[in-house]
Amino acid sequence: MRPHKPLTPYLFAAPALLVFAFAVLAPVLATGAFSLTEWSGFGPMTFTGLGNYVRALGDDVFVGSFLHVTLYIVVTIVLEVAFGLVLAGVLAARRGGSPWFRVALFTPVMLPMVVVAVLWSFVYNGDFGLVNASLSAIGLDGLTRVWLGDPATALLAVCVVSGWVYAGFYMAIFYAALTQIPPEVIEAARLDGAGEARIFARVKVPMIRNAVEVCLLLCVTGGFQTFDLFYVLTGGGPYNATEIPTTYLTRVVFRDGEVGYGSAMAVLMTAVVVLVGIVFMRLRRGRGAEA
Amino acid sequence: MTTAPVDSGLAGAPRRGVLGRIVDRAGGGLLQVSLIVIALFWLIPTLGLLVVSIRGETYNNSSGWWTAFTRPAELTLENYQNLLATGFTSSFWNTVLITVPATVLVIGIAAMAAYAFAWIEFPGRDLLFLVVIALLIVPIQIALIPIARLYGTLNIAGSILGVVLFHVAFGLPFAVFLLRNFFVGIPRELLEAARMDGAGEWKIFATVVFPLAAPAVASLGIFQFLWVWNDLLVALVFADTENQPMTKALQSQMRQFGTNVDVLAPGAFLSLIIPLVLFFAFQRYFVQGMMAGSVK
Repeated sequence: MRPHKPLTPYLFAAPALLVFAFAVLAPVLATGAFSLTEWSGFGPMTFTGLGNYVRALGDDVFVGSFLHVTLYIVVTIVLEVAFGLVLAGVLAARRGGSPWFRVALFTPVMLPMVVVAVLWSFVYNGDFGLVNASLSAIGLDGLTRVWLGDPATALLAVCVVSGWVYAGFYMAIFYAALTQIPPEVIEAARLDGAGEARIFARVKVPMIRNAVEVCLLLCVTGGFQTFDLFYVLTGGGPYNATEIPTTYLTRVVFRDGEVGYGSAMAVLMTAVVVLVGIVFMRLRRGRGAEA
Repeated sequence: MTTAPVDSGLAGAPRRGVLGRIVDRAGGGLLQVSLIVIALFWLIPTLGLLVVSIRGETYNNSSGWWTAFTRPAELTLENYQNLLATGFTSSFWNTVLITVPATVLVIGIAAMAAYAFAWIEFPGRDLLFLVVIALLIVPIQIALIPIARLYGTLNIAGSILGVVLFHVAFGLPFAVFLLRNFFVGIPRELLEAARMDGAGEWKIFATVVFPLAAPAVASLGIFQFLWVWNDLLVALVFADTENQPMTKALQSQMRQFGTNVDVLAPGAFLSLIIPLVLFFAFQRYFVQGMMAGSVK
């Protein structure tokens, strides 16, 4: 059906498109341009071509930050998506379980990261934290440490906090998807003599594959963009052990005043995220066509 | 007598041997216990924060918060009084002044765009929608520097307006995506009927589509509210001290952690009260919103 006035659709979309153009598209292009210069944000700009990109690829901290965020994503896929899926499976098999359980798991999703950091600093604190106190109580004094201040454990400690925050989020999505499965399908599998665990793995999970894939994509692309969590818990330290691209970039631009170099990092980071997204979509579409 | 509800719950299950039933019970019991342990693990940090926030400063700096359970004399409301005296309330109002307009504007602008994308055919529509989707995964870091420059030129650097505009821009892609998915599901006959009656696009949008989309709008509103309320990065970059929301105020307290935990803990607790109340009030919309946004 054609609209009465040909201009109307554009009027509807105009506010959104204007905001996009000014706040998203133009800045993206500007960042691309800045990335080819050496510039402190004030004063003259020096064109340096791809110099910033060459520098970034040779910057151990920047390369390391991608390693850290990759590790973080791998661990959180287990702690958030896989764990959330299992919890949702248990809840669905128990007709939802206690609503209190769902509330308990979902509460951290709503907390500001600053608050999360405060909460967990009481857990990880070296002097009077819950973890060290528990270890001492069962005679494992040798294992106590400053969890976020030790390069060997800091990244893992941050991953645990992330799991604590987001497991409930994925659980809620999976639970909602699981409740949409027609009961007859599950009943049929049960009559065939399959146990609950087997029904879950062989029948239910394949049926909510779409939700699982979207959650994986969210976890991966969202993982690359994580900032608050690392910034407030460790600030990238100790000794860059938890430095990720977003924290490093923010530091380079806003503390060191290297706008050109930071812009190149932002472009590289965006390229990686978009690339991962495209590969993911391709894989999905490929398998969708086969099925 | 006490086992009766359990038995009735199992009435529909296939018959098994006595041994099988014992194993099932034990397994179920084990599962129950592990669920309780998991729930406790999820609740304990929040509980700890509450206790620290009502515990005297000297005690917090010398022992773990759980010791307060055996020594209730350590508890006091002093921390909250001190917090209010530091001017924390102004950052609370800043958070409100940022969050409310950023939520309302995103809903209004996104709903209009989503309507055009869902129900009006126009040249370039699909391409434009694809651009919107692509923007969903563009990290906001890439826009921070140019926008900070732009705000400097426009003379709104550090202001609440600047923070709001940035949140609106980066809230839009998800909002348009979610609402368009919902709008598409509205039965075509309803729109056709309104068109037959001579209603224009604006009238159809305002009287037919928008009211029907109330659940989606509500869930979007909650998500956007939470994102903005909890944001730290945008506030760090764009809000100056005078206009800083609670997250930034808390973060600057955190840098001196240990000396002022008595301000930090009650502040943290105050900033999570509103999201918690919101969650309990609109629990079911959360699930609906997530279904519409990520599963469809």
